[in-house]
Amino acid sequence: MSGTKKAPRPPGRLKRLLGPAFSPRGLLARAALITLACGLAHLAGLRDYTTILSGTSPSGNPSDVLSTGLGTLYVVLYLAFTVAAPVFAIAAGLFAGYLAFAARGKKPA
Amino acid sequence: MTEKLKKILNAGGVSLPKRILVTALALLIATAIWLPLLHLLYRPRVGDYFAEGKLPPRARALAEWHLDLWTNAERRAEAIERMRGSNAEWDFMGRTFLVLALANMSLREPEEKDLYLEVMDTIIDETLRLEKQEGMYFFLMPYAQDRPWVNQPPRSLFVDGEIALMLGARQTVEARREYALPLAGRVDAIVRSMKKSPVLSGESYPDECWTFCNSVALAAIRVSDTLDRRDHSALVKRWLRIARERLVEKETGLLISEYTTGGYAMDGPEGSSLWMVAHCLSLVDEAFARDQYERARRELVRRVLGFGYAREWPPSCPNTPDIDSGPIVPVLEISPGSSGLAFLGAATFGDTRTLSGLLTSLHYGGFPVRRGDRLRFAASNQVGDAVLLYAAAQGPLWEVVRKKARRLGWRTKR
Repeated sequence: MSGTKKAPRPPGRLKRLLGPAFSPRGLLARAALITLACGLAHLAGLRDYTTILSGTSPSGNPSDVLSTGLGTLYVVLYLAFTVAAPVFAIAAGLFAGYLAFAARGKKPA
Repeated sequence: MTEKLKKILNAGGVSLPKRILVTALALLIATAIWLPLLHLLYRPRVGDYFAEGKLPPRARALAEWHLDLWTNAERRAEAIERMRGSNAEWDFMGRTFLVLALANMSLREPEEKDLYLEVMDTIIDETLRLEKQEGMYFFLMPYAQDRPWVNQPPRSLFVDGEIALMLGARQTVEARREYALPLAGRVDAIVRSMKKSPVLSGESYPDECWTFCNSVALAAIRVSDTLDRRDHSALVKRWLRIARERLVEKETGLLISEYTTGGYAMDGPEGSSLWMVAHCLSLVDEAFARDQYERARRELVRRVLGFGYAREWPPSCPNTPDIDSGPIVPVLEISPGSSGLAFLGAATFGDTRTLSGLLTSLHYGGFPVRRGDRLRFAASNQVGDAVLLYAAAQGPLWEVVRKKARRLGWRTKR
């Protein structure tokens, strides 16, 4: 053993963009990421694949796994966009509000 | 961005355990705030779909999609092929529900009657042609050919009943000579088939009777009687008496969905049957139909966080998912089949609260797609959208038939 510590690797671009996981910025970034993913799925036309919810295959072939997968992916992203993303955004606001409130009580160093 | 704001956004200077704790708490509170509000974003006005007189705007947009489909052979073939890949019955039922919707729309909007009649005739003619050319099995699921039919020669009440109802609806709006004999012939076949069974029920599949199909058949008989003035009211009364005595599940008081020609239950009550049953029976015995609707609503309709839906089975009669129930959402037991047809039940009995809950769910999980003046639901299919359109349009046709029946002395109990 050399006895010297390795210098920590600088965070990657995505990690920098997302920010610390447990922080208002981290929560907001995750909400934005979900919104982006759902938007892309929508633009790619995956909404039509949700016909699987009625037991209908988008291609007319019930054993078409790809269509079923795309429909499921859209539903999951849509649920994340409508439930998780707003919850993350509200939580980010609450977290930031708490930190701002806590900072007011502290004397400047 | 100021340093202070940056520090707050990154939770700088806060220990990891504290950040985890605050994040968890914030997520918990945010969930408690957001979930009860979510339905407000998806709740349309009931009046946008369901109203007296002319079709309200969103129901009109749904109708435009169907009219476009039936005037565009390529798009229609595509939509029908998609459904037939899963279930040939849906192709057939999609036709029935659309014809019934158009009949009601003709009575609501007499100035558009010619267009609606033209589409109705196209659907009826094509359906009769396909039945003649390919046989009744074209509209049935493959297992219809797996075993012998009890009554010979084989006839499916599913096919006969819905064709008779389509013809009857068309003739009620405006009589067309070419359809008079086919309608009377179809009703004769229905009556023969029903009379062969001790429970007065025709087979839809080999030794398989459905309250859905028998109720449709009773409605078709009543519509036909008001047109050609034959009187099958005794048969209708007997069917209702037998149904009350032998086809009702004891615990819930609901009509079972499926039984043998001898009257032995094959399945308990099912939402995908009951809503249509209540709708059709309201033409021949309104009090019994309303009672069935109220019971079904108590047993099957649920509301969670403002979203309404229907289960396929009452809690006391669990069963396994099938092509009629559609894929069931676990835990909540949401059935797309039952929820879709629940629109028809709720619209028939003017249940605005249930309609509002169901519409909210439809706008959330039905994935509406608007193209110009047309509306469809991506999560649905042609038959699902046709059911919704029929639910929105229904009313005037039944009212005309009821009035005629009263004049002829066949009272429906109110």
